[in-house]
Amino acid sequence: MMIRLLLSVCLALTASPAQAEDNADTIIATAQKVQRIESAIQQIEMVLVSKNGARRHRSFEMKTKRIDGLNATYVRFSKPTDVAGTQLIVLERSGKSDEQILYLPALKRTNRIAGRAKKGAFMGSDFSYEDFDFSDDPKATHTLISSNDTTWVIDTKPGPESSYGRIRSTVSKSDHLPRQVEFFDAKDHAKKLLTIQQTATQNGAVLPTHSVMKNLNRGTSTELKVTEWQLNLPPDEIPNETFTIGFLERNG
Amino acid sequence: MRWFWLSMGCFLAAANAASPPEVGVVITPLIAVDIQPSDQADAWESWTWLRASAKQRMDRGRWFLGINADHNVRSGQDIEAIWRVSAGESGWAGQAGKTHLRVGNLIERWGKLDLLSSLDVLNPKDLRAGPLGNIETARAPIPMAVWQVGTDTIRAEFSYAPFPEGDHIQMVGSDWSVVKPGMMEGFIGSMSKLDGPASTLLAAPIAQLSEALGKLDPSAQRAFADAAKQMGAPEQFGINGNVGARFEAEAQGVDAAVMVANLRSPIPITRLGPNYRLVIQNKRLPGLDQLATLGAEAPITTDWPRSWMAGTELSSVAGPFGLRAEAVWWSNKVHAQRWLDATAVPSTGTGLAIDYTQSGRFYMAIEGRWEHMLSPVDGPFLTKADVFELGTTARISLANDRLELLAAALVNLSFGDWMSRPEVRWVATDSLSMGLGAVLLFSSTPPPADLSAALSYGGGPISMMGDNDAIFFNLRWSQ
Repeated sequence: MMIRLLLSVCLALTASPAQAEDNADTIIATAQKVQRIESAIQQIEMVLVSKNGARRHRSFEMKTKRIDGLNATYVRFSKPTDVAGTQLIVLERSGKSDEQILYLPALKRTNRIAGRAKKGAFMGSDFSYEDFDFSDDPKATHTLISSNDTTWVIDTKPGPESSYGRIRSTVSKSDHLPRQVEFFDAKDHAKKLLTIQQTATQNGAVLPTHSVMKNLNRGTSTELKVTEWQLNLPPDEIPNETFTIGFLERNG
Repeated sequence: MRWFWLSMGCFLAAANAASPPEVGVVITPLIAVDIQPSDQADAWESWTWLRASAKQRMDRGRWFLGINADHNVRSGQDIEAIWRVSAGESGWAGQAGKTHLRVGNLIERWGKLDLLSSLDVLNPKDLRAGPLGNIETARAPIPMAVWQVGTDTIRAEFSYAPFPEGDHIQMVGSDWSVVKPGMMEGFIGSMSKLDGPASTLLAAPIAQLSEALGKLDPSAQRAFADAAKQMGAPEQFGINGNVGARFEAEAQGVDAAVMVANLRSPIPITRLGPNYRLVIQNKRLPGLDQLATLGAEAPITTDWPRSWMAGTELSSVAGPFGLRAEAVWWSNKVHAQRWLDATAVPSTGTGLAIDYTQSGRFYMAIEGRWEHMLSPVDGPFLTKADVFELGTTARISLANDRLELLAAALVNLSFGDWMSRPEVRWVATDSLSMGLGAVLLFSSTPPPADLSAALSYGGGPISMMGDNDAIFFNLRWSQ
């Protein structure tokens, strides 16, 4: 799904042209293909905005890498002090739901996130653990709703394990990057809205550097700002062991 | 000097910093007021925990520096205030060739259970605050080196702690100790009135001793108790240290480990001299002819036996549940016996935990443990040959994570007693939260009223603290 790609590292090659591909599956497949990168390190500021406008700040580092064709992500929080040292790894598993393991420094141990827990809020934000799921659910179906000179609007019906009933993505034809994603629940009520407000280009790739996820039911929102990034690093820069329990425990 | 070199090492290491240092401080003051005041319990007590830390990642590792401090005020028969500062987790962790090394004042976690772990053995427990304490203060860091070698999925880890410490427990004078406030003074005061052949001779000296004890500062009394606890401890040459090896593997959806260690017991075998025990047991002073024997006998002897242990742990998921399990075998585990006695026998422990999370705003874990003595001991104190326990923790987050309902409970099925710790917490800002809660204890056996009853107590550990129900208010400030 678009959101998943967006949160992983969300890159699009600016060189990829808007082609005559007015077929939703083709658009999604192309988007996934052009957005795929081998590795990245990002420093991210997350701001949780409450209904009354109060703001709470989180800082974390996110490392992503493709290992044997599957995505792996590592997240480590550095601020605020109360959550500093909290780490998360998300491992894409071929043909299975992703594996998520959380390290809590107070407990000094890892916790496997099971089943429905993946639909829960990520560190109190409006993003859910599910949004970090990289799997391209084979049960998901895509429908092209409309098209104009600059964008495609595509509806995705995710698989039965998702907490979303429908996802509507507005995808830019210039770079295949979604600029807006609306999430609907099983009763087709709008649940969340993601907008990309700012992007940056590096080595011919586009990175969303400022995104906002709004929870339409609760009136809250979460801003993600990417402050630093390194893309397509040499393999040794992010060793595979980064995505292991042993690494989490050593860095707790 | 140790601090100086540690600081210098960190300073020099910073020259190759890969990221800016993370510096933080967390201060957690708590005040608890007894719901049912009694002569043998403090009317109120306060704890203030302070944790300051700094860490920085380097090219091939990271250094970390921590300072822990706590301040405890107790108000009952007298007012005591205790200030304690110690090194927090401090040291260096990084690559050594193709292996990994951690050196310093460390906390190393074994085991998968949180409330009822039998495998979490590498660090001493800090149990001074009883159920008022929190999970972050429950483990005390000690000097340790850990060397890890292996692949991404299979690892071997070897640990060495040259200067092991016993668990941090106050045996005398606190609401959470075996000998409650006033019990010791009360007993010695009553001794001058005991019958016995030597009563005429001993009444006056005992009365003087009682008076002297009464005048002794609480800090001096604690110093005596701490000194008694350290008796018999091996010299810290390093060769008496703890060694352990852990072999772990992780695969899709599961991780498991087996471990083996040779450890010094975290609690000593403490024995009251037989003749002193008779005086307390019979509440009768010895005969004149027995005085010489009594004088020649050490009132208390302490021994710190070593034990082999082997264990295993596992975590996985099953549908919507997280599963955790652990099991341990001890060759020589220390068990307390009545009348201030103890012995070490082979023992086992087995634990299982199930946790469930929904929407990130509800979390619940249930843990169960069975501890078994392979050779039962006579007159076990605060334990039994088989002890079955259940523990649970739950957290509900409301109002956009501004309000938290927390609860923990511990049920000792073998003694039929249980305790709970409900708390309501308001998260004002990222830096400040405050909580109001209670510690509620449900006894199957009334708590002991005097020293004699305390040393021969037949109830469980929760019942022993049964008159300490309290409400508490705490703050948590971090920056």
